[in-house]
Amino acid sequence: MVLASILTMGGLGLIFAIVLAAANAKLKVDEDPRLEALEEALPGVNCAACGYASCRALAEALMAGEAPPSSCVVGGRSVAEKVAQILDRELEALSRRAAVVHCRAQNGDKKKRSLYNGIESCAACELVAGGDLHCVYGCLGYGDCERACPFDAIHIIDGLAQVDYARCTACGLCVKACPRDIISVEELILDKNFVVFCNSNDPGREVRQYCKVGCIGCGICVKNCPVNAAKLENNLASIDLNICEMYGICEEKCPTKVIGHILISEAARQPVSERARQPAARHSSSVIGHSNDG
Amino acid sequence: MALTFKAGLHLQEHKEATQGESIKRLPPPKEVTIPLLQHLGAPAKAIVEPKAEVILGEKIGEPQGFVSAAVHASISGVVRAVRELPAPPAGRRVASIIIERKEIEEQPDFKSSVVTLDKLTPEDIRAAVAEAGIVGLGGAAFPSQVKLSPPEEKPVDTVILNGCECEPYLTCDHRLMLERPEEALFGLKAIMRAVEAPRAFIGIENNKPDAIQVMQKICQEEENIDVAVLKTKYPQGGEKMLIEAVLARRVPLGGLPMDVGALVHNVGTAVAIAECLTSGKPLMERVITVVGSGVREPANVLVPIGTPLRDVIESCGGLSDTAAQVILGGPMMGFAQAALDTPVVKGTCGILVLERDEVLPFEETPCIRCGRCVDVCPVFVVPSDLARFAKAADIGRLMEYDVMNCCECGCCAYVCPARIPLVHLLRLGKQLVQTAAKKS
Repeated sequence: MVLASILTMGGLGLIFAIVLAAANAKLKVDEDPRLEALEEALPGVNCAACGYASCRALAEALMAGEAPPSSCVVGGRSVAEKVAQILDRELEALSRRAAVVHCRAQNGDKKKRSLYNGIESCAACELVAGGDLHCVYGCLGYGDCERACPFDAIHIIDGLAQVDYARCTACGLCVKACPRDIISVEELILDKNFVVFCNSNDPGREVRQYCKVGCIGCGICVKNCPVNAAKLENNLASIDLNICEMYGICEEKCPTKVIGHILISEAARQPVSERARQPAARHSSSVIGHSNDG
Repeated sequence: MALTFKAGLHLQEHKEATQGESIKRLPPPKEVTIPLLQHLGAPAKAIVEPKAEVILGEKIGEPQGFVSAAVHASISGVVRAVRELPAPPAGRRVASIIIERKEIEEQPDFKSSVVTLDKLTPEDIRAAVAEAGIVGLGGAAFPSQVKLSPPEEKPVDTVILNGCECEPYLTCDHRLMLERPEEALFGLKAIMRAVEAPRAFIGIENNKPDAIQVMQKICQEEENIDVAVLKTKYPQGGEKMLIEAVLARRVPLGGLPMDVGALVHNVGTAVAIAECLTSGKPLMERVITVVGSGVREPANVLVPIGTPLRDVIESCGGLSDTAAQVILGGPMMGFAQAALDTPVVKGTCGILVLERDEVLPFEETPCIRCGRCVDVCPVFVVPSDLARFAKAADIGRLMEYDVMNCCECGCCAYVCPARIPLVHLLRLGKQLVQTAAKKS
């Protein structure tokens, strides 16, 4: 009896194994080994910042020659080099891109005009009469950008969104999440990139009343710039990095200290592909702070 | 028997403070801030420059496109600035015109003259309404001339004048019906003429017996206009609920009242239409109820549009010492405001000031799936699920579960025992869907 069972089951197993082996041999799909290598080289976070739905989709596009080797926005130089090597293609020049928050008002610097105790989200706060700050341009500090960032590169510190340039990959998800459009992805082309950390178009008289570190549109940066890189438009200064020669006079003379700089040496990025796979990198698509099954 | 609709809530009405107060006119303020977007649709375009002199009733904003409304100066004076400011009720940043008052001798007086409706064509009425910048004064502020132009394939057979005023505390429509019933009736007849509707109802909740009496008396001689007495239930004043109660027709999901041959206009809108036809007066002032335990002398007041809340509250005795929250509109659908410089706009029906112990913050706890929000929802969405999708920013499922059908009446958040801020989350969800639609 036992023997019959063993024979039957064993026999069946053998037959199926033969069928499967034959199918495998007949229906085999040849995949370019480079595709797997490409997938391995890409960060694997599927952020879609490149415009393709996933890292796999980008890998396929790279294989087809539809995308340049530097397509991976978050991977930066290191990934682009690997991709170029795998595909045996030339790598075009790359510059460092990063998210810049155009506000530097921390909790003590900005005046609140009301008490908000609703949902912990900037978008939700903005829906209630345009936010709880006097400044209608400034950072609300409820962390929609922090929750949107898959790379743990932007944090609310003392009521202000601050970018960790070593981690920022310029994927632009925080830009989309910010209801006040304070964050933009910018090209950092100099060793010292001067930035106006303010977004306010209000007249200086009013800015002074509600913010200690707002641009008051005084124009001192414009007057003092030896190469005319600073501009004043709509009560707000801006600096053109393509013209800037890094004298730094604007930062020194700015009366409200709203001009600062980002050092490219500090912004040098850790290779993403390694870090993204560490458990520290978290990704949450939730827009609301406290998770609660409502 | 009083007519009614399914679901909804019986709320405490709180109307006793102001329902006996007749409407008083406020003096023009020193300065008004007039947002160019006080309606649904495209913002108007400023047609005055800073430093220009404007007179009362002068058009200062030209409508841009069909769904838009003209904006007029509500005081005579000098334009101080045109700049972007957060506009009420929701605080979207909108270009606004700031006018500083200055005595100018030639003031238009807007004397009313007798107008016979028979001599006006529907086009005349529509043109006059568009020129006067009239929008729905019940709160949503939809441009009126758009509602007066139904497409040919959707004829309107019944007009309903909305005098429900189901929102607690507010009494401005109630007072208008008591004090200016002839104008309300004239406005209603003008609306009927504009859309060529043969039949009309005036819907009034049965907590306003005096208004029902006045309107019934004035409609005695009108064969085709009747007063529909409605059960006092929130949100009876929502147009879909009103059509269901009066005509037993249900507006299809995502549809408009004209899909079922109905048209709803607010009493205040009818009065404004009557004014613009008889005296050529544009929409530059409105009646609002200033009420709540945080206001010393609650009242119904006629204020120029653009008047800062501070001035309106000052003329009603000012804020009490324990005042904590200022809401534009009523307690259910109103919007809490962050500053007292915020101006009164066309869609503002009331200013409600609550005291500290009435607005204590509460703690949200997990949903216990009791389903009360579903029971009370008058538009039959599932607020608890939608709130979850809004938290997860799941735009696909928000659309699948019809978040856009939500009318933000606030019933769900009112009954929620877990204190989940459902309306706030649903509004966030609606905004997510709208921004996604705009981007794609």
